[in-house]
Amino acid sequence: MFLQTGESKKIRRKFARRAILLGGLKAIGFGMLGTRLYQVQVMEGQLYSPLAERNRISEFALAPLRGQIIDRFGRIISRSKVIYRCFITPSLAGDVAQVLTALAEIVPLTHDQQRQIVMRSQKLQPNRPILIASDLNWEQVAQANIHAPLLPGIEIEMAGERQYYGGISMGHLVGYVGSVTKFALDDKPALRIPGAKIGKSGVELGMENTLAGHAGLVRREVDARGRVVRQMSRIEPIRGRDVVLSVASEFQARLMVHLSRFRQAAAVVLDTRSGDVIGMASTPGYNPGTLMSPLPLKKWRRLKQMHNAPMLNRAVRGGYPPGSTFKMVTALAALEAGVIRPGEQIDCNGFVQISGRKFHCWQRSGHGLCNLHRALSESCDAYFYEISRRAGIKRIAEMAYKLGLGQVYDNGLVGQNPGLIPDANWKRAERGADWYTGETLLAAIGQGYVQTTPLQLAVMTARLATGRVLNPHFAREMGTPRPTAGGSLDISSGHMQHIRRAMWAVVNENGGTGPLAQIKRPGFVMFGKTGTSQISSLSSRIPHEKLRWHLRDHSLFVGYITDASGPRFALSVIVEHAGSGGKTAAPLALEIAESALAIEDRLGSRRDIWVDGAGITTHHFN
Amino acid sequence: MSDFRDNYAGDQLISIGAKLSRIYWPVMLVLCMIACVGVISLYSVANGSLTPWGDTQIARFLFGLALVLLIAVVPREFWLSTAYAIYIVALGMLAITLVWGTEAGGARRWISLGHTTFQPAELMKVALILALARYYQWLPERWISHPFSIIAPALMIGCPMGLTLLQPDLGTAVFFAFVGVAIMFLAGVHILYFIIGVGGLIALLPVLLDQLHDYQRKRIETFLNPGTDPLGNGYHIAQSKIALGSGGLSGKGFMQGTQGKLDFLPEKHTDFIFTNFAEEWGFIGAIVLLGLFAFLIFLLIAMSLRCANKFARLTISGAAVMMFVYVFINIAMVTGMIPVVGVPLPLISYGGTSMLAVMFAIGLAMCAYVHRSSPLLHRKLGIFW
Repeated sequence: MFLQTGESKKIRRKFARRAILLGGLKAIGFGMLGTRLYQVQVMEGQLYSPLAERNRISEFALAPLRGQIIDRFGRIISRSKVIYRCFITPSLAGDVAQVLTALAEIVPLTHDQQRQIVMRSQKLQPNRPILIASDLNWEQVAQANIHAPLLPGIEIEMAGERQYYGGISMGHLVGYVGSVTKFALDDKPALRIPGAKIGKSGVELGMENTLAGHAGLVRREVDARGRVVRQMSRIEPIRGRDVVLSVASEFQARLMVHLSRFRQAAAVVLDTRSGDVIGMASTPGYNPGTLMSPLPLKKWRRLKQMHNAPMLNRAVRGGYPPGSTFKMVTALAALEAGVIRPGEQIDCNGFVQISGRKFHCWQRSGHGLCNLHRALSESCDAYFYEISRRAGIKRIAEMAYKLGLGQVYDNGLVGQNPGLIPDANWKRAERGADWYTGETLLAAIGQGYVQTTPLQLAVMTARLATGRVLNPHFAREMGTPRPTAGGSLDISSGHMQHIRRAMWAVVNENGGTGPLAQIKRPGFVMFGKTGTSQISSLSSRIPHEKLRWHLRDHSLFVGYITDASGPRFALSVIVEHAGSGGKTAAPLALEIAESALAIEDRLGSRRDIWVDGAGITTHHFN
Repeated sequence: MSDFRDNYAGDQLISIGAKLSRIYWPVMLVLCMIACVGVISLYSVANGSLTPWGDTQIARFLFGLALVLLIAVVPREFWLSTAYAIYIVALGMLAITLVWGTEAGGARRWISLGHTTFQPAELMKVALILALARYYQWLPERWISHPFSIIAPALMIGCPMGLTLLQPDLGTAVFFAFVGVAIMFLAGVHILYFIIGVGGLIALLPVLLDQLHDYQRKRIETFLNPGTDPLGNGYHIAQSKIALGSGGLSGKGFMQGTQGKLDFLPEKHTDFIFTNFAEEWGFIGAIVLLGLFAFLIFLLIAMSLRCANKFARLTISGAAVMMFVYVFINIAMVTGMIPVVGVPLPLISYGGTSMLAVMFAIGLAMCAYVHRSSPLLHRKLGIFW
């Protein structure tokens, strides 16, 4: 056995010294901790205490009532009916199944429904309210309030249910609302409310910011268990503002009746004094009211995917080659460029040959010698081939933009098709190829790459009729000032007169292509231009009736009506695959024009909210 | 007189009953009191329930108490002879963690053992104390401050530091440094080394800061300016301060704390449990708990002063230093004095490994204390002596 030798006194004293020194350091460390705790807990305690309170406040949003959409004469097209919805918050309810059983005595709930809600409450966050019923009547609301102590976690909130009164003729214009499908980080709190609806198309989407309103906010104090101790504050939601449309629903209905004779057609009627849209229809259509009740997914898909696209508003989203209705653009471009005089005659022998390729006139035998007037009224293609060659595509495109083509308008109509006005730059950028003269010739008669919407054609016609920069106003917030009409177009009025005279001749002179649009009513005159736009090159060789329907030419007509005071209405009509413009679109345009005049007679004395909406609502301006 | 009798009391073999009677029971009592605070806090954090944390914590503590008694009655020579082996095993496990460890939050700190996970770094804390105490017990007195004798302890501290820095876990690396350097200091290494060391560290600080991982740098940045990132790293500190401040002087009362329960607090049952405790019991409760820890450390220091051999003194004061570093880093962290580093509050935070490590260290200290007056039996010490 070997015993360890005792260590020196010196080293043991050294240890004691150092252990005490280190102990002192530890004491200082604890002192620092104590001081820090005193600082955080006692001195700054008041500072942090309110912050802790904030953590104990639960907030939830209150849904605002959506604004109304009314037509020009104050008829309600769309509004939100107040309904009472019933929610359950699982964390407040405790035993969800038991609360539901108690609730079932007030609000009818089947066992199946109850079981489903219980299942959902187990899956979702306990603090998230679950919708139980959305169609409570007053009596049920009152009963639920009386029995509130027996119904922990049950809450009843007011909400709006969207209702549509315009039927199919207003469907494309007002659009519809639907559930929020995708949440973004910067979403307004209103969108997070269960069952929140937002505009999905038409004015509902285009004027969403006006219609939506602002969510209210309830702040409640909750205890450590999440139980509500008291309501701290309640900010009421702000109702959405109303929107007034420039159309009259009576006229819309008539418009729809006229159009529905055809499989696929669209028409736009503008007021030439202001540019306002007073009628716009597209067939086939849909009734947004039917979309508000739960729609089976299968039916919804069918509606969205049907080949005749009933959800598509052809008046603003359909891009069509304008055909001969584009010839006014070409003529004005050439006149303004000075490459042709109005009286100058060009010989049409049925075709024009450019770099080995023949460009035919629609009349194979030719028109003979044509001046501008005859070329427009009889729609001689060869004349326009020649003047477009002289003017060049750039000038034609510039004139098209000036007249309102190739652009979208800021008027609350969403999803507008900008159409297409081609030029050399566009082709190089999009197709990576050079522009050929032959393509200028095609563009001159509204074929080739050119695409326009019925709305754009109506704007073009209204601008031709008035010589002013008219924009198709359509929807605005109630009570805001009416948008002003634009200034002069900056086109020689002499040249405009030549074009207008020719448009008069199209309808009212022998040999014109649109005699069926001639207005019978005394004191009114129709000016116009027919268009027959080719879809397939087959249509020039095969008789129209023998061609497959979807390959037949589109039938177009643009025109305007004047009375003693000047131009009144401008309109554009397109009937898909209906053959020549003079045969189908021109008489349809006449019917529409006469309806517009008849409606004006009938409603003229009523108060026009679109023109004078002040005083109707008390909403403040933005 | 009594010293003389103590030194030669009975034989080299003391009976287990005698050993148990020599255990310093006040330490055990304070341990139990601190553990009680822990269980109460876990009960409160779990919304008034012993599940899922409280019951497990009780079981672990009782197991830990048994472990302390077991370690205390094992002959001291056993720990002396296995000290290096334990250290090597711990070091090996640290290395293994780097390769096969479970990754969480960008760091590999855990080894998966079937259903549970294990943090070798916690074992290393004890192993380092043990190995250093063993080393200085062996080292003859006159060599203590010799430059060559500094190399071995420096390596003993440096190796686990390097491995934990690779995980990366800055907090634990700093922990090793504190404990290791403190033991060297207590062993009597010349004061000049420490002055030079601290001076060198300050000089090297810019270089070291450059070596930090992105998340570590970010933590330091948000620590210095918590407002910049209120929902990220600053969130922890901000929420913790809110809870502490809302506790005030006397607290919200048991089970009345709202911050911890409503999940506003991160790691509410582990690293940040002190926040919940201080919210409910206020500044007074926090000072009482701090006082319990201080008293425990005081008792340990007092124990170390009563021991005649270096191994005993160094293991006991090692346990005291370890306890202090745990408490200081944790509370300084939750009160926003230092950046957030993952160091638990011993005996309070929920966690098996740290509880075991603390109890292991206390057990070793107790073993050294129990055998403080028995002579060291060199023949039992094995070949490394």
